Amino acid sequence: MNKFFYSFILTLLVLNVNSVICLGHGEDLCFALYDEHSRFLCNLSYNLTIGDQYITARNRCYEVYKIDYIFSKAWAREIYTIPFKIQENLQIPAFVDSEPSDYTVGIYHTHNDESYIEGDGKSSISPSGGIEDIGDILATNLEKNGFTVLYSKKNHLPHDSWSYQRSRRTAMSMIRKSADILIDVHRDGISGKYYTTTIKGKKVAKIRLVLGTQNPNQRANREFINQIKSIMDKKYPGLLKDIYLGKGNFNQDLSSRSVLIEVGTHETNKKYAVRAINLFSNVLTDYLNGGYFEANNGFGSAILYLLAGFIIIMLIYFLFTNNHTNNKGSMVDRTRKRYASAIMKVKKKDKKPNKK
Amino acid sequence: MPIGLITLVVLSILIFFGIGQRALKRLYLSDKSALIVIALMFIGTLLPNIPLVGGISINIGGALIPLILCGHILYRVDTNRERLRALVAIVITSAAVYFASRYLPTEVETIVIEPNYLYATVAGVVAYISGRSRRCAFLAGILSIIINDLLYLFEIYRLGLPSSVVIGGAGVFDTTVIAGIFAVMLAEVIGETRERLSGLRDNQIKNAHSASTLAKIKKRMKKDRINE
Repeated sequence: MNKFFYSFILTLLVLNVNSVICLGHGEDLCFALYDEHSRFLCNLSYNLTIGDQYITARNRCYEVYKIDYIFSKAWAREIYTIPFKIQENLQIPAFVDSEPSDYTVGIYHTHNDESYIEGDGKSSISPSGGIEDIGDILATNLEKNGFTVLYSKKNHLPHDSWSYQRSRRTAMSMIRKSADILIDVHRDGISGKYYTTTIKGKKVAKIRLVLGTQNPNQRANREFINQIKSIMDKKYPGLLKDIYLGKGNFNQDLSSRSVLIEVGTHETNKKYAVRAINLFSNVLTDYLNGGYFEANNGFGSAILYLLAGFIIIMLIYFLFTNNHTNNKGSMVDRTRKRYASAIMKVKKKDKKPNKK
Repeated sequence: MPIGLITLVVLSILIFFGIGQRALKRLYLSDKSALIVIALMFIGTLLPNIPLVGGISINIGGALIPLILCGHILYRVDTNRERLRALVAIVITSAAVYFASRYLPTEVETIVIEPNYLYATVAGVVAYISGRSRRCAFLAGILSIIINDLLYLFEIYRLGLPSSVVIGGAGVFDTTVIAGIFAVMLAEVIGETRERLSGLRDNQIKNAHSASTLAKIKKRMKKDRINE
């Protein structure tokens, strides 16, 4: 019993040390990020580690190489510039034979309580925060443009680390309904001044795209995010704040077109966030109408393929491998012997004279 | 490809080639039955959730089939002592996962390890330490996650949240499945390593509680060499 007790306490200590080291997503606590020439890049409200990557709105990818936890400063070096070619002359491939209604967009909120102080009154409102209004607007706009939308307001609170497990189930239910794209709508927690811009003479909140790097689907999701970014840069320059490459996967392993978006922060005026999401829905519309991919056929065919594959594999296994019981010989031999003995019995029956 | 799917595909291939037979034997499974279980879990993932009472629903692939397997193992366990040890392991692991969910960082930017893997690892490690056998590790890994899902019901009532619980809702992609597999793999790897480091002879390893396929393969190779 002592071993159990000590191992349990040890596990709790390890977990708590991790949470203490983590500076948290303090809504007033953030790191100032500089490049190698000490030029200010941005503020980030997260637990930075060496090797974290960050892609600016100007397509420059930086990697953190030095952190000063005492003064909340970090330095990053540019590792590459992404060539975002705007596909102006994109020809829709002949094989992409999908109507707008064939495309299904899944929208949900992992942190349903996130809200905007200017507009909702508080930064967090349980059980339903202002962020659900933003999701509503996105869903309504996409539906008006002819797409099928699965908008889930399922509550994933409390606002703890298990909420991503709960929202994983919601995301999976959308995948079962053949969602082509999954969007998890959030708002950030840093100062609002870094998240506002002016587009066509009006103040608009900026949007951050988040990519999970501990995710087997990372490359596919990155490709998706790059395509979205290229449309945003062309249509509404300045709307995208940056792309954050976060640790974790944020359920993005469930789909190759999955993204987490942060629309403004808790200090952003909600009106600006509403304008931003209206613009973002236009970006998504252009992406879905742009012929980048064909709409999902649904799970019916997937089930049939799985069943067929399973039957074929099991047949091969049963026919050609040795059984692990005491019986000797393969299934083929035993089947042959069984039928041979049955045939022999039939022949013996035939030979018996009819009794009258 | 989700991590749960990758794990199960790799597991299927390993079972197909006869690796891990000792672990399967301890779980009262043969190769065929293990492959059938995995296939049913895949198919069950794609099927709709089954609604139960009180706002709870259950996914066939992600929870129902693992639960049936856990019930089968608990029923067939050799001794009451081992059954009790399994129950203690389940309670300790459930508590560890519960506290992990309360105290780990919550925001996108503060996550250091993907929660899906982290909870599975916590469940796997604590399940092995407290259970010390493949059976207990498997039971504790899976049931700890399911128990935490049920504990969430109390949170819903306490906080008055308009929500429901879907047990194992992400199917084979759910933490439930990953936790169970991690726990057994840890038990297999750590158990085998411990046996080897303690210098047990082959026949002792064979008779040991955590004897593995590797010892069997070695013995077979030795026998083949003698026959040649």
